[in-house]
Amino acid sequence: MSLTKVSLIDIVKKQYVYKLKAYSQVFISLIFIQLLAVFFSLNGVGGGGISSGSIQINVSYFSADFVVAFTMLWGFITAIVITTKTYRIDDFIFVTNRASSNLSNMVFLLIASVIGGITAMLSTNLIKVIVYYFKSDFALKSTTVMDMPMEFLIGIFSTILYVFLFCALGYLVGTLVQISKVFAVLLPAAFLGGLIFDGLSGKTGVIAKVLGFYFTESSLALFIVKIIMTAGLLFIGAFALSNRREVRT
Amino acid sequence: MMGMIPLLIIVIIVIGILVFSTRTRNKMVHKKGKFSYSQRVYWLLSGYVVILLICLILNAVQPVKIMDGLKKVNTADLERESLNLYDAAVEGSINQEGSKFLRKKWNFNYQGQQLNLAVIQDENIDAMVVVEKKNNNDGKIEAEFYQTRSSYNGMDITELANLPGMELAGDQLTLLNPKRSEIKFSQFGNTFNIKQFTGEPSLFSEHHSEFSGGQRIIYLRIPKDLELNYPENLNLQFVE
Amino acid sequence: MSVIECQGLTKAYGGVKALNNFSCNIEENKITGLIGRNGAGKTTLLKIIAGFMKETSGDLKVFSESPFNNLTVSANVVFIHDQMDLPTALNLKELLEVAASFYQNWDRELANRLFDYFSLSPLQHYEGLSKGMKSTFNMILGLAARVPLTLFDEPTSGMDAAVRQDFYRALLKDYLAHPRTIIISSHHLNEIEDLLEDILLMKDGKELLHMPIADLKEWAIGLQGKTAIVDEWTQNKELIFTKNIGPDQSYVVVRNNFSETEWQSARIAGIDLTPVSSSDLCVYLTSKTKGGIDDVFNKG
Repeated sequence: MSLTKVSLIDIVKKQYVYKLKAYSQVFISLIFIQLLAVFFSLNGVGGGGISSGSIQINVSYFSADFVVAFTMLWGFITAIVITTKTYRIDDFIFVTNRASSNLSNMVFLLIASVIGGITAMLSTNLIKVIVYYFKSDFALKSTTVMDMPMEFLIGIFSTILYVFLFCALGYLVGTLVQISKVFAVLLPAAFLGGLIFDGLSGKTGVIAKVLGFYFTESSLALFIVKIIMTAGLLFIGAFALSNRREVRT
Repeated sequence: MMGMIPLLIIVIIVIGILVFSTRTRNKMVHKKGKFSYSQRVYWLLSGYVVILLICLILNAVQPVKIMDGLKKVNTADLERESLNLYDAAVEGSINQEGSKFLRKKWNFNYQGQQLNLAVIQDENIDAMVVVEKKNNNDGKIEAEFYQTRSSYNGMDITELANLPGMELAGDQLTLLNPKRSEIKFSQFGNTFNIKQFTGEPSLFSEHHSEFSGGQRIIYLRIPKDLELNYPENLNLQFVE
Repeated sequence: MSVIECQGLTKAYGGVKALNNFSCNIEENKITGLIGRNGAGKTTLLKIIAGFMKETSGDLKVFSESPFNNLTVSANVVFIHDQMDLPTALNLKELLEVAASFYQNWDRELANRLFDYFSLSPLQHYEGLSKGMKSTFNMILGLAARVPLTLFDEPTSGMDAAVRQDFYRALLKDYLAHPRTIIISSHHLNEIEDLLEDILLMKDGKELLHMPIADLKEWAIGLQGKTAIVDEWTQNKELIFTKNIGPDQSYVVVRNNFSETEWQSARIAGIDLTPVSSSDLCVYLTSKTKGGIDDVFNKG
């Protein structure tokens, strides 16, 4: 029987089509987590009131910040989940090597980020509808897609990038944890420790600086470069770490 | 630091839910059906997206009723109106110049020599009282309430305010504050990741809001010789 | 041509060597039985061949390439084992479709016919199947993939006898129609004996025997008779197994290098000479002691 030759690209393609089916339940968690975030958002993210004579004006501010943040968290967890053994060995049933497995995971996470980013931005509309029709007398200045198509597109695009960044981070974290369970304790401890240390010292600490590097970048072009570079480095790190990993069932 | 604890708890709950939902996937999968699990997931996802798109369309095509329910006004105009009405009132020409701001009228027959103007205890009347003495003694008290337009962030909210009341009992005329009206506004902001690029102020910074209360005047026309007693703290003026 | 060539292959987990200086050559288009006790290193060997794990030392070539992290090897090898964990989100029909997309020579018709024959339902999910049904489904994957190197690790675990027979028959028929290299590891040598061309016997991570199954039948012989006489006859022989059966009676298995005349005289001396079945021989060869389990009880 003659040997078949396969190309890496071809196998990566087949694998992510396979993963879209095999990992489909991550989208159930996405819907669930976004609805939960919408629910939290209905309380408003802030408020204020003015009272003059007999008129009392209450203003609540709403935004889909929660939904975007939760979706980023979802990306992070999803990426960790697909590095776990149960998912990793799904690849090894069929044709694969570590490069194709990692690449197809990356493509899957990218697709997941796109779906997560679009739905997160769209969920603003769900919050609006619920607040308009059920919670509030009047709505103040608010833009719709028709008024501000560019803002909407920037929103979708930057959410996708943020989710993807967190996917990349989660993928590296998950890979580290698979290599040694020590990281499962070490990484959260380092993060929380850093947070507490920053809080106690009262200065802008390392974590705040790192977050600021992305979250305060006001140039879209630089932001894209920063995210793509970082995500790229995180994935390369994960690829390098997992390339010699054995599959033990 | 303390403010982060609820946030941290939410994050932990979310992580818990996510991890739990991936662990329990087996149970969800086992439901028998004509369609495979992944097909069902993508239908659910499509359904979710469709709902979100319907909301988008609802917001895009039918916001008129809700968002333009209030007329836009120019705050500077309101300020002018307010001053003009005050001037007209103290000059006694409110009849002519303030007629479009007349909101309510009362007429009382009163034959007494003295009238006690009162407010409910511990309350301040949220209006200025201007008293005009008539040229004759016709035994009638005419009361009028004038109010110029008020606005919040450039929107006319005049109609939303309730009107004050008045009651005559014996020799006492009690001014009643209007029923408090509460108006709920909701304001939608872009998410942080849009503000980041549009340069809008961030979530927790001050929100700019502008409120113009308008001028409220209770105008009383009383018989020439009627003696009026009123509490000291009442903002009351006689027409010159 | 050799499909698998390995030299001095060693695989250590921690301090334990699952494979210890293992060497062998597997020829193209042969069915080889990989026989050994639990812990002999069969699964480790197959996993290294399939590219799941990397050897600690030594040299391994599959299709003249190192199999670890090798896409070509992966595309031409299918590894079916009883620990397989297929994705829970896919039903059986979808799993077959996915497999078809990955393996270029996938035989859709064979897969569907086997699927129907074994009464599997397309909408069922893998982890809802019984152990035997899982093995049956795995077997369909392994056969229909139709790759040049097919590895079966304990393929029949959990199957009932009838299904096992069906499986062996299906394997043989498909092999005859599409010859390829197949390695089967199994405990049931007597069941697969007729299927095999070669046998590779493993013990403690080393190869013990690698020969055509036909030769194995001639390889050893059993002697039974009075202990004294049997001992005398087996003095300079390679002892494989000894057993006392009743007072003054022994059964001894030795390497069969008797000449025709020795055979004759042994018979005259009152010794029963009997052929040893392959599966018994494998048990004897792979046991830790010469007397088997009896030794444990005969110590006192």
